[in-house]
Amino acid sequence: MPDFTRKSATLETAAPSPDDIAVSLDRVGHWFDGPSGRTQALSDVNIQIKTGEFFTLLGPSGCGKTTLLNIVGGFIEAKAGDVAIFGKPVSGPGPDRGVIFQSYALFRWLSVLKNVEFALHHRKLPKAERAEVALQYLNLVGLQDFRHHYPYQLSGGMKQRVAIARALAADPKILLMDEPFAALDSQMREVLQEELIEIWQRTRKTVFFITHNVDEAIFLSTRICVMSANPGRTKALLSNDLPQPRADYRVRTTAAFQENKEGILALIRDELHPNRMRGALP
Amino acid sequence: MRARLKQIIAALEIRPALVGTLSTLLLLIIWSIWASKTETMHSSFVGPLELLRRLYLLATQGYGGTSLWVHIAASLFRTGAGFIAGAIVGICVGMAMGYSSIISSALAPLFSFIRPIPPIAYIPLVILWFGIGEFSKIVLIFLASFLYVALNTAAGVRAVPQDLIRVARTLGTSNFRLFYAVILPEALPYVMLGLKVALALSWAVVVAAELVAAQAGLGYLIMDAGTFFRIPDLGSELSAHRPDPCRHNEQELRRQPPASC
Repeated sequence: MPDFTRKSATLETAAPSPDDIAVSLDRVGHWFDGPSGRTQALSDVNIQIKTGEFFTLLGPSGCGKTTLLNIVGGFIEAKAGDVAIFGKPVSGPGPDRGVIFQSYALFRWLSVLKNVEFALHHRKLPKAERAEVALQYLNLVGLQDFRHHYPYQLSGGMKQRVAIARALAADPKILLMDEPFAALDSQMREVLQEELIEIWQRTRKTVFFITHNVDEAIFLSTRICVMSANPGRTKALLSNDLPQPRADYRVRTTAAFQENKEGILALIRDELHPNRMRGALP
Repeated sequence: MRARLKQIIAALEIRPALVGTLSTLLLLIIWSIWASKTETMHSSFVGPLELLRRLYLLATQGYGGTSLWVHIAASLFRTGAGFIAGAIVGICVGMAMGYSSIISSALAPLFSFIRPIPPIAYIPLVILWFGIGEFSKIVLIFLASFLYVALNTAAGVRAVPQDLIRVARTLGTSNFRLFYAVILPEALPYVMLGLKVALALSWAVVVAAELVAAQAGLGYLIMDAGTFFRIPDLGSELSAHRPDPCRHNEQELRRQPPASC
C-alpha cells in the first residue's frame, strides 16, 4: 500500500506564497443550534488549496462536507476560524467562485443558451457578443446543438453539462462542486467525470470538489482530503499520484488506481462503523 | 348484445367531444319539454329557445334604456381595475413575505384573521367608508383579489430552491435582478394560480357588489330584473302589447338622482 500520508506531509511543509493559495481554511469550525441542542458540524478544519489544483473532499454523508463548501462559497459564515480566497477574507458569494450542485439548479424558464448567457450578464459583454460567447461554452460541453432546448427536455447528464457551462461562463477562478454527479447513473457519471477532467486540464481552474464516492475522488483529484464525521474534521490529506492526463476510462482499472482506492477505503472503513453493536437482537 | 354494448362504450370512451355534445343536447331537450309543460304568461321558468330569443333582444335593444354592452363594460371595468391593483400589490407584498420570514411572521396573524372572511361581508363596511360609487366596488375587488395573490406568491417565493438563489448569486446577480430574473419566474406557477383564483373570485364579488348598490353592471341588471319580476320579460316586447306598471315606475326612478333611490 502506498504511503499517501507521508507524501502529502512533504507537500504541506513547503509553505506556498499567498498568491498560490486559492482557498485557505484556518481552524474553521461551525455548529448549528437546534431545538435538541447544538450540533457541531465542523471542528478545526485546516485546508490550503493551491491555485489550479483539483481538490476533493471525501467523506460520508453528514460529515460537514456541504457545510464546508457553503462556507467557501460564502453562503454561510463560519462560526470559528478564518476563511480566505486568494488571501482575502470571504464576505459572501461572488463571481470568483462558481458553484455546481447535484440538483443542477438550472433556470427552467430559460433555454439552454439563455441559461449560459445569464452568467455573462455581470461580465458586461455587449448584448450581440453574449450569444456567441455562450455558444462557445456550450461547445466546450458538447451541447451546441441543444441550445434552443429547455432544461425539462434534457437528460440529467445534459442538465449537469449545462450547469458546468454556465458556471464556467461567469469565468470564476474557483469551481465549487457539491456532489455534482451523485444524481446520475454510474455510466453517465463516468462519462461526465472524464469530460470534467478534460475541461479542468484545458481551463486550469481551481476545483473544490465534494463527493462520497471513492472512485470519483481518485479518478479526478490531484489531492484528496478524507473527512471524518461527528464532528466533521480532516482525517487525512493525501496527494494523488495517478498519472496525467487521465481523461481515459482505462485509468480506472490500473493497479495504481486500485492501490489508492484500497488505501482510502482502509481510512474510511473504521470511520463508518466506529462503535458497531455486536449483540443479540432484542 | 352485451358485446355490442361493450363496443359502444369503448367507442364513446375515446370520443369525449361527442359524449359532451350528446349530453348537452339531451339536457336542452329535457329542459324544453319541461318548460313547455309549465309555460304560462309570467312563468319564471322558460325554455332554452325562449331564453336565447330574450338574450338576443337584450343584446340588440339593451336593458332599461341602456345597452347590454354598457352593463358588461361597467362590470368588466370594476373587475379589471380592482383585480389589477390587487394583483400588483399582492405580488409585491407576497414577494416580500416569501423572502423575509420577519415580514411573513409580522403579517401572518392579520392575514389569518381576514382570510376566512368572505369578501362579500365587506360590502356594508366598504359602502360606509367609500360610498356607493365606483371606487367602493374597486376597493372591494381589490380586497378580494389581493389576499389570494399575496399568499400564493409568498408560497411560491418560499418554494424557490435555495440552490437556485445561490447559483444566481455566484453568477454576480444583483439583488434587484435576483428578484425579477430568478425568484419571480421560478415562483410564477404559484403566482399564476393565485391570479386565476383571484380573477374568478373578483368576478363573483363584482356581481355581488352590484346587486347591493349600482346603477349599471351585470349584477345591477340581475337585481333590477328580479326586483321588478321581469325574469323572462327582459325586452320591450311584452310591454308593447300590454301596459306594464313596473316599467313606468322603473323609468321614473331612473330619472331621479341615485341618492333618492
